[in-house]
Amino acid sequence: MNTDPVLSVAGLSKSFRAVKAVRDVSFSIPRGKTFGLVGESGSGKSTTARLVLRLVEPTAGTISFRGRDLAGLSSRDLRAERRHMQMIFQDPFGSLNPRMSVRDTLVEPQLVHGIGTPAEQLKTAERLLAEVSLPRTALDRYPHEFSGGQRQRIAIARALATNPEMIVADEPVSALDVSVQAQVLNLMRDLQDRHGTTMLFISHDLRVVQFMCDEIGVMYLGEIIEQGPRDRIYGAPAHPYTQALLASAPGKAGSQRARLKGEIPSAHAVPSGCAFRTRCPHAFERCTTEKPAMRDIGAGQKAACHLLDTAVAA
Amino acid sequence: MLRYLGKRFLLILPTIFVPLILVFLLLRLSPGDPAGMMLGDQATAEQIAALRTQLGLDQPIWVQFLLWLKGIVTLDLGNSIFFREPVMQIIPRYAGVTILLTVVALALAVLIGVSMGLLSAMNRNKPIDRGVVTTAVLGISLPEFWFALLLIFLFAVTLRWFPVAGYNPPSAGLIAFGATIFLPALALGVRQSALMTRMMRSSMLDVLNEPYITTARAQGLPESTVIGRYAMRIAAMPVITVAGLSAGYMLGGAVTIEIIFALPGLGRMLVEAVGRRDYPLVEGGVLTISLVLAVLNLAIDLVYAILDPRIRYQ
Amino acid sequence: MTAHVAPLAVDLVSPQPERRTVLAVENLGLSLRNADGLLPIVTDVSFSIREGEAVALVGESGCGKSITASAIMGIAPDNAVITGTITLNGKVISGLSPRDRRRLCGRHMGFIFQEPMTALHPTLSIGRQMTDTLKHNLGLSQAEATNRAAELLDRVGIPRARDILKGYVHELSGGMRQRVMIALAISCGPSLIIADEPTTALDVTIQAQVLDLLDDMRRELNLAMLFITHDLEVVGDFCERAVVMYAGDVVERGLSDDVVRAPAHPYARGLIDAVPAHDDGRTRLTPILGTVPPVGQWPEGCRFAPRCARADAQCQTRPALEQHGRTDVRCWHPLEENA
Repeated sequence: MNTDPVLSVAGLSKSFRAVKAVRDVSFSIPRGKTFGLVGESGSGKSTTARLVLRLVEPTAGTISFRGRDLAGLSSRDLRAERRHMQMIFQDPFGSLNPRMSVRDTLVEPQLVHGIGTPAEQLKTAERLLAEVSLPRTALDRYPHEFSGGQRQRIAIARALATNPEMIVADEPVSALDVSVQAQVLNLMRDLQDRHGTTMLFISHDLRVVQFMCDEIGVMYLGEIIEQGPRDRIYGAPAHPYTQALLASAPGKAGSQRARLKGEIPSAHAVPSGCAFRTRCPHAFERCTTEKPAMRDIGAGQKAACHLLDTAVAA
Repeated sequence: MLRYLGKRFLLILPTIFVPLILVFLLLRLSPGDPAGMMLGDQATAEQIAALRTQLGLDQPIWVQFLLWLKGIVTLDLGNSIFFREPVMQIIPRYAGVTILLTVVALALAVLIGVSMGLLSAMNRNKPIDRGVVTTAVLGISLPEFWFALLLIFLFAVTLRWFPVAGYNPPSAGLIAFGATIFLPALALGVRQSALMTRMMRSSMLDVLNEPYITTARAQGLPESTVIGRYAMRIAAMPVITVAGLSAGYMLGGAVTIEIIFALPGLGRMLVEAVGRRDYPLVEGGVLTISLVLAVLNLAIDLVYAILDPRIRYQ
Repeated sequence: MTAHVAPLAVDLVSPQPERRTVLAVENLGLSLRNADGLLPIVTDVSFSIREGEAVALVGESGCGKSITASAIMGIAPDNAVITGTITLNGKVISGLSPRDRRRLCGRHMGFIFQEPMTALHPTLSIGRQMTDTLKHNLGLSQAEATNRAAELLDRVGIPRARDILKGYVHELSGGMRQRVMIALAISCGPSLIIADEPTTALDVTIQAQVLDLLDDMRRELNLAMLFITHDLEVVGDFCERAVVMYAGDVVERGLSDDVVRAPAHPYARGLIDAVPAHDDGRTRLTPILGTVPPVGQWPEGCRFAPRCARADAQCQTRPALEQHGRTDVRCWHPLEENA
């Protein structure tokens, strides 16, 4: 069994003219695990998702998928690789073609990648529907006949159609009601267990990420400022931003709440030194002049903060 | 704001020059000879040739073009071949009439269009709405000349409220002027008002569903303010666009109306001049219309920028 | 569920001066009139809000919480037929035409929307929008209104208020826009504020700021607040009492601590179980099976019965809202407190 990580990105960056949307992002995902990217507006998590699939061309950095450098592939080879990576989007209304029946939607990826005979493709479509707990009669229906949660299931089924090694899910449950969210999240966990799919899971909802992910990267203004196993991030967050993020979530009432002041800076004007210093309650001089490097804290956790330096040195 | 207007101004130049170049070329390259037309059937070949040289028509076409460009810059548009007068003196006599006609027609169109459209939108699906929409559809389908003849028959011949034809300039008194301009303006404007009614109606219906209208109502603002200020500001934009296009259409399409009502306008003058191959006069006429349209569109762009601050900063 | 300190625990122990009831809704029903007749959207909704109190109206999409609010404010759709009684500051307003009810908005009721980007006018300046309402509702002059607007923006934590007044919505960030909405809502000194999912569209850290602001405003101005949300954890943090709705019905009502920590209605319990909690090690969530019945297709009897594990023949008849333990529940088989 291949023990190399399925996905490994290093130094990934993307700039849109003056806006540095993603800056020097590095992480890797072992086979069968789920890596979560958490962040607020402008964090660059959605752009990172698209970079990983090379839906957007990176400005710098490497993307190693199944041992091959994606950035260096020709468009034909890239297309062949695409069958091993699939995506689920946030909007259950927009991500399905309203003019294609469910059958067409599920067969199309197989057609595109030349998988199986028409009879086999249909059988696969039926099997996929069963896996996402939708009735076989759904095959002939169209997206507008389904609810948001059901559409998301169809999108998941479609993502599984080519039996991909990796799925990138960009806010897959954010547009759904709580009770439906639970159904879809359970489904995603079940499918992952059954197929051993590796997943990159993007969300702004800390509770969902805690449920779904094994390892988490916290992003702020285009960078990963903390990264580590789930229990460490949620149990002992090292970076002030992660701490504030967790403390801001509803459900932590009373004195536990620490409020971050100020607004998230615009991506056009990223603060010098540490990008978080404008809102950090513990910022000091060094934070303005020197950008903190990612430091190992132990147990697989890393964070980029000058405070950790003094703590370690102390 | 200045940058925006500056950019818009630069775009005007092709708007003026492209039609001019096209007209220039089409005229001079088409069959028919002004010299021959002026001298009549009895003229000899030498006489025609002599007149041609005198008028500069024997020069190669690109020389004629350059000479003409020079003329524009020095504001010397040459002499009308037929009238033997400077074009710069002939045009204003006729242009004034057409511009007045267009202005009155536009004013009527906007008045009728906006009020009917508003009435329709506020009473959606009620009988009055259906009545207005049906009338608007009829209005769009009417040819202006047919409507003009109908108006003459009804109001001039039968009811004798207005003169059948002829023109009194404003200097002859407002009532006299109004009597001769009203029917032509109505005939010219009715189709445009139907277009504006439909545009106003659909635009207003869209805007009324927007959340900011609900907020305005939730502030307890009177309905007149909600519609008159909050809704109209946004809903009026597409109507202004239509008004601009209408003005262009009216300036060019006033020909039939001018002929039917015997108004000494630019349209009529142009048609006759083309028939005579009176090149300088035709070019002068087209230049005038292009200029007026260009200025009008610049004015509309200015109005957009005033009404919508988001446009200023593009 | 994580336990947290109930902010008003002290009230249960010591006597409190009587707080005036600002809003009282009794047996409110709303139906839409269409070609086939009347389509019920909301049935038999009753709750009250006292001054300085925040009451949450909780439910998922389609439960009728937003349209209930719009009925109170007089901005329900034209074909809405409203029954029941709505009393504001002691005066019955349900008898008024929607237009007259709307006149009370601004001066007596304020409204905060979910999406401030689209809820504020895009091409009128912020200052214009604020002074319009101040001038109309309070009769202030232009200068007085501008000053008051600047004060309000300051109070809600917007820096450089005078500059912002001249600016436009698209120039502000999400958090700033929501602060403007709050300033607008409280500008004419209303006694009731209705906030419809005011923080759902905001980033988590900004959400926290805005919720704090709303809380401060409520305390400072002694506002009665109707807080519409789908997020139970927000309810637990900020609202004193909660009203849970499902398919047009009120299914549970009581102190938010009780409703959120130990609800008696199976649906409310289901909602809590469906949310990934912070620190339990479940590998699977417990979703509520099935989907919400669409309007017009409500079952006879208890509307939640088709999805309820505890349903039996008795649930074919519609239960009444009755007190059970610490909360009012509409259920034949409510859960016990230690369930």
